[in-house]
Amino acid sequence: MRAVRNLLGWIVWALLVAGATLAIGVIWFPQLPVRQPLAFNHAKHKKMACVVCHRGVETGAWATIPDMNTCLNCHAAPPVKDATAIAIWSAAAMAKHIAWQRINRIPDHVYFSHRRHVDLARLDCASCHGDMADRTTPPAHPLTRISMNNCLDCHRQQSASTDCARCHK
Amino acid sequence: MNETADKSWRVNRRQFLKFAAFTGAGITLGKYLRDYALKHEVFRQRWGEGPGLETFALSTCRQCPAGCGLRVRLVDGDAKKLDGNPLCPIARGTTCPKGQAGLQVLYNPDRLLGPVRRIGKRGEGQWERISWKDALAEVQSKLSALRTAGNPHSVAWIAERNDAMQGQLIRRFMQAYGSPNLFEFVDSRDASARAAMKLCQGVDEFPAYDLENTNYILSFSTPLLESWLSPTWLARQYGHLHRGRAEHRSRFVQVESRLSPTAVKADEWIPVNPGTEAVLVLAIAHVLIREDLYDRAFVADHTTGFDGDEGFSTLVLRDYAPDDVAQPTGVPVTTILRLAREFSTNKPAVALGEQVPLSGGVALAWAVQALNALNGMVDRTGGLLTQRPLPLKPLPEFTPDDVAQRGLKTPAFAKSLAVLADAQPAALFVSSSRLFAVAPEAGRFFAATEKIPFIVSFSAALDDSAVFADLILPDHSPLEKWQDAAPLPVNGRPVWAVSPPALVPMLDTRHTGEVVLELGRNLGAFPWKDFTEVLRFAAEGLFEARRGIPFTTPYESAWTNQLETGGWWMPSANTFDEFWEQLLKAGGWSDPIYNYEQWRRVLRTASGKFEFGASPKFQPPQWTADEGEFPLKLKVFTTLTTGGVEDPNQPFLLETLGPHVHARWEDWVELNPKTASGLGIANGDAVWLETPLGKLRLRAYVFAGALPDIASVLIGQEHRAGGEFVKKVARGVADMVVYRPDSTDTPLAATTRVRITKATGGA
Amino acid sequence: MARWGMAIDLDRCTGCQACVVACKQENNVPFSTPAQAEKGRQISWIYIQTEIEGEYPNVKVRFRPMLCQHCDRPPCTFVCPTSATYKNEEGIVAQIYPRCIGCRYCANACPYSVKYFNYDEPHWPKQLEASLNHDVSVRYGGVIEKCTFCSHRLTKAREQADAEGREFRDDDYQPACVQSCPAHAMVFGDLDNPHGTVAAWSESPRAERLLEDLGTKPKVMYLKGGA
Repeated sequence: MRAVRNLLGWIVWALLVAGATLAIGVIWFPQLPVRQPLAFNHAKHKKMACVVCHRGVETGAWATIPDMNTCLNCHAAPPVKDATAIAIWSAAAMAKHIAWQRINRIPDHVYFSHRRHVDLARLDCASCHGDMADRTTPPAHPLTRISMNNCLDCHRQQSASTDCARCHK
Repeated sequence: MNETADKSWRVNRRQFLKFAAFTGAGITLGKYLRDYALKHEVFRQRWGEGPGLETFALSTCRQCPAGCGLRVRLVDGDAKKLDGNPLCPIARGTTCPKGQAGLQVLYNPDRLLGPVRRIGKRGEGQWERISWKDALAEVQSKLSALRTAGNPHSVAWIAERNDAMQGQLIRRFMQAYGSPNLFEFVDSRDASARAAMKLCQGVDEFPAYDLENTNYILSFSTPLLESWLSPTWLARQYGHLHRGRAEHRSRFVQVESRLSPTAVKADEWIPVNPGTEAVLVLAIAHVLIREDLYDRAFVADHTTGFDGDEGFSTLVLRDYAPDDVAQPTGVPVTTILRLAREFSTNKPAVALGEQVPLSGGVALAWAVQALNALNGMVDRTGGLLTQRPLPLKPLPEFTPDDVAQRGLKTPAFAKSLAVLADAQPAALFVSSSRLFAVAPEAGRFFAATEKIPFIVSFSAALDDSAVFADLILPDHSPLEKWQDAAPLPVNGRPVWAVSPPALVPMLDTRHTGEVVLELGRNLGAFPWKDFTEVLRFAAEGLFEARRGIPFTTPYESAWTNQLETGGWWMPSANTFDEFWEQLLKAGGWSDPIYNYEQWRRVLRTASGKFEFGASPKFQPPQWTADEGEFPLKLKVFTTLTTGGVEDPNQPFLLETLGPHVHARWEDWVELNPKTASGLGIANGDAVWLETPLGKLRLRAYVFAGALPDIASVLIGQEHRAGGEFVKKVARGVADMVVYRPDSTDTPLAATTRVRITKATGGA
Repeated sequence: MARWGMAIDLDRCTGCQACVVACKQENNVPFSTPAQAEKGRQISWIYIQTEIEGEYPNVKVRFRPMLCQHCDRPPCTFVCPTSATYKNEEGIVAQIYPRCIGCRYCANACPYSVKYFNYDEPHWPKQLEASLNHDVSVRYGGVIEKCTFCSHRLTKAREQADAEGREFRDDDYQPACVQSCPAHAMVFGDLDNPHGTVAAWSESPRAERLLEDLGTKPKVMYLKGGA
């Protein structure tokens, strides 16, 4: 009887730990880690403006992730060194497609337009994306946390609309 | 005491391991839960990783034969929304609900991935994927075997009538191959209206109606606001006639044996006994003649057969006095008098007599034609028009070889589904499934397919036209293909829609037009490389016609109309290539002008006049089975949402079937409250519908707009096969309708008696 | 600031339901199943409401496209415990799905019964997911959804006007239902614009607002049918 009660106690303890892990995990790391196919070095590309590769920033709602053709425009030979990376590059160059993983995500219920923020409101990319431009390796998690509070703080400062329906779709 | 307390704080090895194990388990569980939660996050982005580029493409709607121009919104190549092409003179930027639901055709989960061959027995539903090469080789070898044996005429083809290039290619193919058995059907029009045009005006074509300029519409069982003619265009005209003209609202009277959605929106609904509409029309004609309200000048100048012993007026005055007609039709004498007076004094007025689905019979169509003539409304503003020809370049001259010549001389048997089934062709091609949904006694045909050795279907999914096939060669979805549309007569002005694919084909399907080109190539019937070349060839006729313009704004259309009225025409392009670019950019070509009172064009009878004399003898409807056993009369209808669609397997349409009785996702029967209570049936009950041909289970709606002793039943949904959505709905009412053609081989609507009994259990 | 409103001429409306289907396609409204329809759980932000009056042969049936009336005093917003539904400064009654706890107070408070509860998780066959509109979120089980006057189109139209460096005009934006209507029975625009069509139509002697005596001040006007 006593053994059973002890075991129950331990199970409750394990569930408490699980709950805490879940809460911490979801709040601090709300995204699964992202692994890119190649270790892209943003810092090396820094002398170009972001919009050169991330087309659409100034003209559309979505900043796009560049396709392989964008890379091939400049790189005739593989810009990577080790054998596996060269294999990945060559395969991608053949297929004209490389599976870059998106790291910054906004929830499905939010409408966010890059054109509105970058082209019309003249916001710096770094204000939301952090110092991505200085990264030498791709991060597994976004460099900044974008929460609704961050959005609202800025919207209030800039006297932009804080109407829920303007951003929530 | 102390010792125990101390002991409890002391951690021994066993306890430490336990602690570590359970903590570890907790952390692992928590991480697993987190990963699970994030993977299944409800807010996840469903869309792809594309740049989100929005583009628009033009296309042509093929949900029904009307061929409205479409504008497709695409994001990263995925179609997101369909709307009307603002330049299309039929749609003007709008569509009917069928057009809006078109993406459920394109992205239908039941589409075939590629060509398939039947394995196992007919109708068992066992198929294997084959390559296009093998499929076409199999068709070719069958076709050449039949031709070598000297039996080209034993090949039959069932197609929807399509005057556009794909339809013309099929006609040419059958001619070159040597079979007269091409059965082209139309289910958006009443075939008897065409027969009446032929009788009275010598024009072998459906009538057109100048509804945008009319002042009074007297419609006899014509589903004006349901699936008839061109739903988008009709809805536009309805709005325009009611409130589109300042201080001038037209009147619309619907005579029908059911309070249909059309009758709901009419200014007045006049219930009539089914099958007796023709008598009522002639009674109205009687009043016009008796009260001298008819157009004497028109009758004197442009008609024959009005006077004389056997003349129209004698006949009508003798047999169709309102007092005699009131009883059989159920329409009071005062109403008949009022209708006649309203009709003749509110000109321009037009009478419509096209009953769809099935037919009101040539007697009704003829009577309506005569009534329009009596009122002087033939080829006049707001009246009954004759479609102007569409100047597409005709296919080049072609002389079929000897085998084909002999085949073409054999008597044609493909006149209706029932006749075709009895004739047992050696091979059958099916390029449309609509016929099977509305053909009476279609079951007979399906039983007969057992004996047809080779059946090829072009259906995109396993619908009723594919279920009995040996080979299925799936067509592209309309948005994926080069296509053109030459709508059946609407308002007399010719229109040709043409559009390139809006997106690349997603599956291993092939353009049926291309397949026909391929099949006919050995016969030397087709000089073209591909279907696009065919379209360009046809368009040359428009370029050289020296009239009309590529689709344009209402203002430009009106201006062109003005110019052409004045005898001017300005070319929109200097070269054909430029013209072709304009066509593709606009979505088509139209000629907005109609020249009224061109008697020589519209009265092509031997006498050059409108002939009253050709009257078909009216016979009261012949109801099958006796009244004691089957006490109710069957009235069939289709809805706007699924009427005329090639494959009704579209959930948006199936959930919007019958707003007037709150019906969706079902086939149903409408019963008058008195009739229903006599049968012990309450609203929503499940009932058995029995006809001499069989019985099926339906839901009954008790509806104040149903006539006493009439069972109004929805038909037009397929039921032998069909995709995952439609098979939950369709019961196959068409099979229960008795086939009784009138003198022009058109199956009549008013034929069948039914018995309704309450079924036990839910609907 | 615009005050968006709609006018529907029932004398033009044919009850064809183009608006119904257009809305579903535009707003990712999940289609029902027969079982859901049987329970009255079909979601249609706009639908044809049918009134049947009288007995055969003197029957009168009326069709009315029924959608959120975007009340100026919306009863649904007063009962929402989480402010998930509220009226914005342009008069659109919005529903913020992630705030919604699915209590359905608003659905019960709405005298027009045009707020819809997602009893089930929405489901599309894989193929049809390609046709979902990314400008509108996909709702999930347990929340209320409703007509938004296609406010996502407003957001985009306003941004487009800004990008082109011009003033936003009220004809830059139309909801999907209005755009689809073949009979031109629906007009949409700024009620405060005295030169707009909506303002003109709402001054017609045939104009009426539904259940006006409840004090909801609807911004959808109906023009009575019949001659």
